[in-house]
Amino acid sequence: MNLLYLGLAVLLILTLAAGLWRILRGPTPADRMLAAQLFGTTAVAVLLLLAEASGQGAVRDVALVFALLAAVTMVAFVRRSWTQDPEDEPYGDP
Amino acid sequence: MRLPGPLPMVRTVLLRLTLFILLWWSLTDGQPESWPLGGVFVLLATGLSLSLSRPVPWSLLGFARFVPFFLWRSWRGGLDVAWRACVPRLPIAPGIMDYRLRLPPGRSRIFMTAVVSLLPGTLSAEIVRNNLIVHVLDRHAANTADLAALESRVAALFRLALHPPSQTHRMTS
Amino acid sequence: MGIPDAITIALLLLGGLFFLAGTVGLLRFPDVYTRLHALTKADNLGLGLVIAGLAIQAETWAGVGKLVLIWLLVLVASTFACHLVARAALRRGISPWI
Repeated sequence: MNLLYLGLAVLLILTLAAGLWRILRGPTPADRMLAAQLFGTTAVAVLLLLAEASGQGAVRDVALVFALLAAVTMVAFVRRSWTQDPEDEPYGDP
Repeated sequence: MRLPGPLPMVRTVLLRLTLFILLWWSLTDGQPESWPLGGVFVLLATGLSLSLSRPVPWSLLGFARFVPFFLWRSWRGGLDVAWRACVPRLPIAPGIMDYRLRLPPGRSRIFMTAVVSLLPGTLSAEIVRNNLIVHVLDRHAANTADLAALESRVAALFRLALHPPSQTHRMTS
Repeated sequence: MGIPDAITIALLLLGGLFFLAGTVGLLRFPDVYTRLHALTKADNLGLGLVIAGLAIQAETWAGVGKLVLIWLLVLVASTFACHLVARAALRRGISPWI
């Protein structure tokens, strides 16, 4: 089983690298923002696989924190540095 | 929004308490010695969440129906996009679709906006007044019936009635 | 090797395939919107399958709970991220590839 976990983790890291190459080429800033999303999902999967392979439960908590951070980073990034946000009303009153 | 009576309030308190207990339990891998500290945090978190957000009306039946619907549709969504990405001739014909929302502004709408992006071929791009602007992967396969089906499930989940029957839907290439 | 292990292997391999397909989509699709489709749907499904496969191996129910929590967090993060990126792109006037 460990071989499978590690092999899959390596495969995912390769897809991550391929995705990053695509993202760095752009062409628009929006394309580069996909990097955060790519990391959010793929890196979490890699960490979970490594946690299982190494038997170190703490790595799973790293994945948890990563998932949390991905959420916060993404929203902050889009809201602060990228949109000019003309007026932010579309959702209406919560 | 009408004020919650005493019974819904009790229900809300119990529900949030249970959620935070479950959260602590899974974060600490169920270690019994963590509970003295955990108890304090669970109570604090429950109090904080009650002061920050009002009770959300929702239906257990609606939830029970929504989960399998969501899992099945997002499985098909993933399968669909994976297939389109891997076929050599790249069978996509993207377009923008305008969907007139029947859900009122608020949580249910935000929830729907998020879920749309996981369903087959659709991606929520913007909300303009009462219209959800959806990017579709294949404008020939796209139809508003799927969105309407999702919308009624979301409405059932949040105990909402959808008033106007679906109106004009526009497709622009 | 028991049946649970076999199910885990199947789920993990399937999950890996979806991650792979997501990246293929990322490389082949023509614009940011279509790439968002690939990334959001395929990668989230891949993660869901990997997490389901690992949950079978979890020793405690609390461990299963933690995995489900991670999955939900990523799901929420990535669907909102997807919407925000698409919205930002539209507002910037990046027109979809037709």
